[in-house]
Amino acid sequence: MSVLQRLLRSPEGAIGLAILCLLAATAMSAGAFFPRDPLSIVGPALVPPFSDMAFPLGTDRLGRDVLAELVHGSRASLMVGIAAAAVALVVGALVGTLAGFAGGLIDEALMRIVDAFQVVPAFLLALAFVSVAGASLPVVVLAIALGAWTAPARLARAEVLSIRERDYVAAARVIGMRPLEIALREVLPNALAPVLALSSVIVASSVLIEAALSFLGLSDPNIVTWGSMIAEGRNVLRSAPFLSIVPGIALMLTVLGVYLFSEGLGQALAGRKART
Amino acid sequence: MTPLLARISGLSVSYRADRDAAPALDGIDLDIVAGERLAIIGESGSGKSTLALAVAGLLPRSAVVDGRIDWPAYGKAPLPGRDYGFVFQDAGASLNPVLTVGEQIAEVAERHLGVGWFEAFGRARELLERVRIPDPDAALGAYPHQLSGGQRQRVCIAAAICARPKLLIADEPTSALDMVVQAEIVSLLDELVREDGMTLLFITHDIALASGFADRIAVFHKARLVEAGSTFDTLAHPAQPYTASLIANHIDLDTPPLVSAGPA
Amino acid sequence: MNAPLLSAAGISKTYSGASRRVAALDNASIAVMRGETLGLVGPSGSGKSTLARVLLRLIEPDAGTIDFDGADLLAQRGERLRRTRRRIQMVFQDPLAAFNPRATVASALDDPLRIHGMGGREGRQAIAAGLLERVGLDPALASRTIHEISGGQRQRVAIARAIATGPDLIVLDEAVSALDVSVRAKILELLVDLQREREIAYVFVSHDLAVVRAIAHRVAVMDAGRVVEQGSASDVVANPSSPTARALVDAVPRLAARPGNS
Repeated sequence: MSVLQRLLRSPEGAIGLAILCLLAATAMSAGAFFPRDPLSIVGPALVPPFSDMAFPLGTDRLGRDVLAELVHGSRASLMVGIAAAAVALVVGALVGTLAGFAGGLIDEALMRIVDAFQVVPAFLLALAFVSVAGASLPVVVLAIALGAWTAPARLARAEVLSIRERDYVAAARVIGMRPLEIALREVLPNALAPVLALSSVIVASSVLIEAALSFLGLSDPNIVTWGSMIAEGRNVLRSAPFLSIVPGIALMLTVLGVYLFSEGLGQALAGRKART
Repeated sequence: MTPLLARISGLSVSYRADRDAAPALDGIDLDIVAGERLAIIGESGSGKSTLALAVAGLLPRSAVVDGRIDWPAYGKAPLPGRDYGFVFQDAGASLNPVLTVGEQIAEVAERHLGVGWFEAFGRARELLERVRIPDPDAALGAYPHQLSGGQRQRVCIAAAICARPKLLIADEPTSALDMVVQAEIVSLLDELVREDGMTLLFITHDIALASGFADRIAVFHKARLVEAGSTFDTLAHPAQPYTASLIANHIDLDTPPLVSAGPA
Repeated sequence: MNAPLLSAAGISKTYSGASRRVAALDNASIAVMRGETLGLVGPSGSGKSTLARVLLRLIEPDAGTIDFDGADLLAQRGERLRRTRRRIQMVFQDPLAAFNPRATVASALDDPLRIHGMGGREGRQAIAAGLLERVGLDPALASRTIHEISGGQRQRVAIARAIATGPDLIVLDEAVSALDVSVRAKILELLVDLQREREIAYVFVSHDLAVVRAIAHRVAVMDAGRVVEQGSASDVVANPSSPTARALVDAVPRLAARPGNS
């Protein structure tokens, strides 16, 4: 049975995958359903949700369509979350593999750098980086990755340290494989499974950090994000709480979907391991 | 005729996880006579370990079991620890790493002999001496990782015979050990079983090792019982070609060398 | 008498733990002639596996010298060492652990050929098929993963990998200890055939003196990191002079009876 089949068989995996697919479909079809700039003013201000079918989720203070903003916002949230997690995983896995495989001084030096990054809270790091480098999408991605690569680095290093002692690594040395090829072909792929399991946690926290940065106004002002929508709604929280609640629910659903998916994936991978 | 300890009739076991796969045991009929030393011999996949687990009632819940095991000597299913002792292959994994050796043996004594903690420790010390652990007083307070593989297996044997069970089941107790330690452990088992009049069920892949002390041997192959009989008769006149091939493939110091004296 | 293919002299290796120092190897010396099998026997912890791994440069000794075919093995680095590696190979005890969990039979055999530049892609496939046939396997197994084949087949693939680069010496670390007796007999036969055919020397590490006696020309008995006795296999078994060798001889289980001579 494939991993995908096993994933779909567990309720967590199936629900998580469904939520993520729905989100991805939403993000990709945003341009088709709402071709207009989501930041353009389309109607009266502060229309409550479900009162006017032209604006199913109502309008904000400036008369912008909340649904259009929400759909377009999913793009930014997902893209930033996934891109930041990908950068963090690639950098973390490479640094961890290198440290674990090289050992000695290189290991010491790399791990102290990891320590240095880990003592600063990830959000503060991102905040400082964005305020210095200016708010644009690539900067936000980098800023979030800056605080997220340390956990995969540590995990990859621990895995590599154990794999390094296995017979098949000794066998690769005996047949004359070069150290770099051993690290990348024999060690890294086998150390990756637990590191990948971490990816969902990183995606989820990246989405949240991105939202928090936008909430503080530290994101590209020309792009709608769920964080900036919540911030925008804050001004009229008493009279129109839905402006903050709607993107908040979207945010919660995304994080929930990612977590459920990772839970299901973890079970599916564990099932495969138990079988062999 | 000596009394029967257990009668296995028509025993089949399959593991539910792979229903299409061949059963682990297929229609086994075998008697265990009280006081005998019975060796179960088989290669990997023969079902020998499944038989040990089935006799001990330790099969996983998911196993599908057919047939029956009767216990005329007990009148009911035997209780682990009290009615039979079990020695596993991996002594390291069957001991609790966070309890001292003394605590683990004394726990068995306390539970099955109904004695107090102090007395149980006394019994543990006495047993460690019996299984010939050097410096039993120090071993009482030692943790499993501080002992060698052979000593850990001695501790497991001590715990297994603690409650003076009638039956001792040993599942490949020496295959993780080197040959010198293996010989010591086997002679220890043999001696303990003789002294206490226990029945021994010894599971092994090594027909020569079993032949050194077993009264009877039962040869298993691919989930079936190939043949069973007295050790001497079975070795001298194997009724089945499989048994004959096991004997022929055995390598001991009488086997003609495969290479001539000098290098080619 | 010719010079030995490999001679290791005065090899020492000490591991320092938190509380104590353990001498894994203590001034151990062995020599192997071309085309000869040297049995390395001893109880667990005697240092035989450590010595085997020192010969393969998997463990660096603290002291000692190794001469391999007239060159100083321990001085070799980088490319020079990699060229020598093609001539010294190894077979491990657990064939499942000795292959990358993702490996297929084909990729496991392709690696050494590719690394040492033996043939183009198609040439290597043909060589691999020939190797599989030589060790008694169907070349069609090449597409299987290592997980999908039996333990005996895996050890044959391991042997095929070891002979792929045409080595002069193969170190076999308990290579038949985990196998069923019928499989073991066939693997030993295969090893002996390959040795006759290609003049490969073996260092055969085992705790089982009976198996060592069956396959080795000479035996070195180890205990506590030292070589305590050396001699022809039949002499060591017939007249063990050290207590370690005596204990190993006594520990070999004997069949209580055999068909035909009861």
